[in-house]
Amino acid sequence: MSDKVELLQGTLDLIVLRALSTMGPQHAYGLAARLEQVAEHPLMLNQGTLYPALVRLEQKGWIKGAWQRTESNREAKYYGITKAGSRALEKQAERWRRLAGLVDKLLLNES
Amino acid sequence: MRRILHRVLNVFRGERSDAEVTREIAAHLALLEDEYRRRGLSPDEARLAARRAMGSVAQAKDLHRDARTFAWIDDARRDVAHGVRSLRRTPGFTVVAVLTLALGIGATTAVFSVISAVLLRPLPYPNADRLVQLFAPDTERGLPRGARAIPPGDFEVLRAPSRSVSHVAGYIQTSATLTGQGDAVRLAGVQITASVFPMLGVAPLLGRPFDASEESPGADVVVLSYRAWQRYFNGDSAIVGRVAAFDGRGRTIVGVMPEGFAFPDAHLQYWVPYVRQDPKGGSFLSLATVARLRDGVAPPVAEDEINVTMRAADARIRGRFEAVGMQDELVASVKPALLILAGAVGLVLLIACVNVANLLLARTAAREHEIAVRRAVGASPGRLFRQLLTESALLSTIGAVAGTALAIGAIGLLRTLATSLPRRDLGPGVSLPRLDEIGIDVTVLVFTVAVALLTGIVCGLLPAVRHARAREADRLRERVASPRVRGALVVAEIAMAMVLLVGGGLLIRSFIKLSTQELGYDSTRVVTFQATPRQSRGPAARAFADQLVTRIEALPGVSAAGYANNLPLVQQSFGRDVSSQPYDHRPPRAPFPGLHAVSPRLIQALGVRIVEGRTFSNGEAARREALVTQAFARSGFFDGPAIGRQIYSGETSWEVVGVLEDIKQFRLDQRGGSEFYIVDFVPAPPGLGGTYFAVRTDADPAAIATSVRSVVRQLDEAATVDNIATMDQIVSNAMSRPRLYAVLLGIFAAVAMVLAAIGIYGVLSYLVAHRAREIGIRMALGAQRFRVVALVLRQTAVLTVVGVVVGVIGAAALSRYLEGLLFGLTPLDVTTFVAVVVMFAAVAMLAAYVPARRATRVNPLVALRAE
Repeated sequence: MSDKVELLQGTLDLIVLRALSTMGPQHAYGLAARLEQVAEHPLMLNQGTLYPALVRLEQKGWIKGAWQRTESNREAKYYGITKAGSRALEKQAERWRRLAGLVDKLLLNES
Repeated sequence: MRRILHRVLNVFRGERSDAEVTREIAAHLALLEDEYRRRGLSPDEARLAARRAMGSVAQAKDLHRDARTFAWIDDARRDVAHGVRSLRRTPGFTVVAVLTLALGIGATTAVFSVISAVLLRPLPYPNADRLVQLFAPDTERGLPRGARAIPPGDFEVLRAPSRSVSHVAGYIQTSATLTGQGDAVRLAGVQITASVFPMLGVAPLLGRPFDASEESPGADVVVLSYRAWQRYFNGDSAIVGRVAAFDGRGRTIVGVMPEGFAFPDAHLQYWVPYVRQDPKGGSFLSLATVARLRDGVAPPVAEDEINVTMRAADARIRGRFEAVGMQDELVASVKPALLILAGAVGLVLLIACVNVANLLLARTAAREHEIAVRRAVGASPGRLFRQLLTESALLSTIGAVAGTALAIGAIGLLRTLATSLPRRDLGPGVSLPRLDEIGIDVTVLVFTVAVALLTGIVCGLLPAVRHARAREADRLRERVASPRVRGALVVAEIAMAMVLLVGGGLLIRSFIKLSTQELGYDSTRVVTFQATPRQSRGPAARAFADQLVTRIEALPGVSAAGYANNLPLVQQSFGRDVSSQPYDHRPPRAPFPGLHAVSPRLIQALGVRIVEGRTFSNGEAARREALVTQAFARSGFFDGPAIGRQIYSGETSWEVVGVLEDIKQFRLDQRGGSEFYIVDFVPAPPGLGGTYFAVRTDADPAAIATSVRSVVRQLDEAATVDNIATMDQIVSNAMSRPRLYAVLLGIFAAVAMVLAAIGIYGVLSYLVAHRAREIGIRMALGAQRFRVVALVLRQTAVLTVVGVVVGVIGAAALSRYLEGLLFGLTPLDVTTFVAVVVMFAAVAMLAAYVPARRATRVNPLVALRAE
């Protein structure tokens, strides 16, 4: 499993926010499916690992959960991004881009 | 911030959130299953695949919980719940552990409540740490500080304004008969300078304090204590301005002090202004003196200034005036003993801790399998460590609650033990100063909580560390035993118990010696009291005393009655400058013998034993006779035998007709000194004192007291009777401090011994269980029962011998701190050490015998099969 991508601390929150902001409200399963799709790798993470991130974000007030019915008529908790969440996403994304750019530069220079 | 708030709240919302996340995960799994089914898996396969994709549900929940709340708070909740469950599973262990801790914590709390009230809490006056007591120089006789009040001339110099001291106040004990408020009563009071109340910073509850101008003979004013106001004046709120008769003299009541105001003593009932004494007058009364230091002035600085001032005023002064903190002075006599008790109770607590640690070790040893399994399924060492520590913290918390209840009882016992007769005239009788202030308050509770926390950690640390650290592989394979650690704990327990036993033994033996020594008189069946006629001075007072003893001797059941100016163990001395030669102009030889002015029959009434010669003759001839104690007869005062010799004092002389056995006059722990008895009557001085009566009777003391009261009333309607006590009570009162110390240290030693015995029992039971297989094999091979018993007892013997040796060395090193409390024996008293060692060895063998017996009942077959 050496090809399993270890998520950097904090990146999961960013990914979740980004997914909710582009796709609208999602339940945990939907988010997990979306992540697998994006990562093109089904074993990227145990889907249970999502829960701490959801709790963190909800506590920060960046997302909000509500019980709804799915298309297949199952009940699920849908999480939607809040206004504060959108603002946070912008800030975090900007920070991430700068950090990623910096790391990229350093790695390229060294090789 | 918001997150923290959420998390804290979530600790308490735990269960609801748990249900919520369970529901959410279930929904998640259902969606996954749907997905896999759509991909063509069978329902079972789909469920498995969904689970796989989800990962561990339990782990997901844990992660969720960790993010949701502070994990440690939640863990603590679980640990407590788990601890309670597991303690309830083993009630025997729990009861023993809690009782042990309750004893340790309870005893510690009780002793701390005493230390807190007596030593730590400031006196009940504003800025009480600024108050110092002043003492006159010790001129020649090695007088204790308490006997070195300031003579009035020096006092007048001292009270002049000074740089280091803001107030100087003096007082003299006095007493008076209050009449006109029901039956006449004798009240103890005190003459004070007007500066006393402002110096203490206490205002009267009603009325006003004294004015400086009232320190004159004409000012007939009085301030009442709260108790006197309630008791004799029914708490009359309009009392200020009323006039009451003190010794027949009308005094205007100008104030009432608040409840609890007790200066200088709790049983004083009134205050009157000090009347300046003529410094050139022949006789005077010295003043006990207290001063308030100015801010920032240390007592030694004030002491220096006072000495400079006094030298400047009178160049003949020898020695130094002393300034001692008022509270330090008050507690000086009990402080060393209290610190020893604190040390002793600390040892008891430590023994309790070791014992519980030992029990916990045994218990965790039995639970090793459970712990190993929990480690194997992923509990971290830190997590296990915390859980084991939680269990011991739980034990110590319950122990602390039980201990506090125990401490309340113990304080009650302590008060009973420490209560002494409420009289100022009885030797060093007050066993504990500030006794009324002892109780459980916030300070004590905070201390108890701290002790409980510390105890929990100390008890739990060793077992927790051992078990959290050991490698789980070892545990799953084979139960690892820790007999060596447990043996070391038992040895420590035995050693500490030995130290306490030796200490308790020394104090008890010392107390027995003190209480069984010869007093020089027969204290049983003697009732004593004081009676004061309306005319307490002059020939009328003498006639009253003579008539009273004659009438009392006529009562049924009375064999003798007499009076004296003092009694044994009553704290008054009348020295008299006497000589063996007439008109001796050499300077008198101090110390002077103690003078006892008595009625002839007092010797019979007190049962003083005559070793040589005879008692006083009847009639007038007795006035020319004297009796002396053996110590006086042998003091070299008389060259040769005392009988037939004369004792001269100025123009008067008495012939020695008898020699008395030595009498413990002031203290039971001092040798009888030079005392002599003459037939005379000394009228009551204005302060304390007065005439003491002694009645030898077979009748009930209470009945005699009633008869005496009615006889006194017949003689003088306004006479008072007070300070009634049997001589036995007075003797017992004089022993109240050593008794208190001996009982307390004895209790601590007994508790320590029981705990050590439990420790020995516990460790041997464990060893027997652990070696059941070996014992089984031995027995199967034909070992005799007594050999098996011997095997177990040998284990005990090794532990006990090591513990006793360490303990004896420790006791020998520590017992010298007891030296000041011991009477008639040295801190290395061989008898005590041997007795304690023998007793302890016996107890240890007894504690070991039960497990040893159990070992012989090991069924070889069962034992062999067990492993």
